[in-house]
Amino acid sequence: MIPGLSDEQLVTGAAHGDQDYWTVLYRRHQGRIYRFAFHMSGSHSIAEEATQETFLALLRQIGRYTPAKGTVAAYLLGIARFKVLRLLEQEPGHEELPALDPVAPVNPEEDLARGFQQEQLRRAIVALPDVYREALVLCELEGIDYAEAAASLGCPLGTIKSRVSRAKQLLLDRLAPAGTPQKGCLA
Amino acid sequence: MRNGEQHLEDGLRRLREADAGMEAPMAVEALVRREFMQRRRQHRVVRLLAWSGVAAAVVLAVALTARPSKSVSVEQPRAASPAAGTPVAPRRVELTTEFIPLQPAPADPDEFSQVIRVRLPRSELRRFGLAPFGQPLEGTVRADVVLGNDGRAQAVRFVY
Repeated sequence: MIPGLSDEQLVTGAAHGDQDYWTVLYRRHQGRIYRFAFHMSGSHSIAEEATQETFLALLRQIGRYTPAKGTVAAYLLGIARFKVLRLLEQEPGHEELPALDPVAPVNPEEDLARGFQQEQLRRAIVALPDVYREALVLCELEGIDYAEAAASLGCPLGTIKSRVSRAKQLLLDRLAPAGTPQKGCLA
Repeated sequence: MRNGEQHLEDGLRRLREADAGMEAPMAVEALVRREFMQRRRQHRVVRLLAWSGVAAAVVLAVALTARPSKSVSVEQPRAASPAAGTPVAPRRVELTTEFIPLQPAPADPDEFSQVIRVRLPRSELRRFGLAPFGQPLEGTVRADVVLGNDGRAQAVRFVY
């Protein structure tokens, strides 16, 4: 039963030319890769291209993957991160989310405002510096644990924790209603 | 936890839930699968070519060992180093092919007993796919044959 196989078994099968293994592997991970790329870029077109390039890159080097390089998920996210950042560099005029209005109030108690707040939050995340954005997206939006995020991003566990914490602080500063300075603000 | 932090945590949770079902368009899957099939076909062609080469080598080895040995005429081996004081003619560089194995390589290299220079019918070149296109195959061609201890030809190379 292919769907019950581990990621490593799927990679091995795909490396031997089994298309079913490759398809299951793709379907198991494409959503996470796409969401990661979208949250990183705020652009569906970049997310689409990054997802495609990530799996094509895996296909080109599938015979060289070993579990020593980390889990398949972490390995893929590592590739995706590189692809997204490269695409963002290459396409500065990509379809970005509208610019953030820093004076827009945040009021989570009001349901009518929720959609608006989500877009505000998305824009604020996309506006974060790369290192904070990728850590926040992986740990807070993809629910990946710190250890796996550290493997994906190639940095120590403590660094990931501090980057997530700092990213949240930056978001608080960015989303705070005008005239409401936050404690521990990172200028 | 401060109010602002709680609001942020709630916002992140709602965003995570809202995007949980987000997936890549089907067109991406189609492209990725097509690329996989293409690479698989390429690998199959490479494997087929490799196996064809092995099969051709086996056929050549069998054909040469089955060849009657009476068609071989052994040349006298060349003289050893010239005597001291004798003018030495400039050494002629021979152009040869690589040795083509006719038998599986023996585990012990000493099993090769000797190399002899022979003349083979030029038509033998054709067996090895070495016959120049459009050139006559009459006459003979020089070749070095490696003989094993059992007297069987182990490998051959042709001298141009």
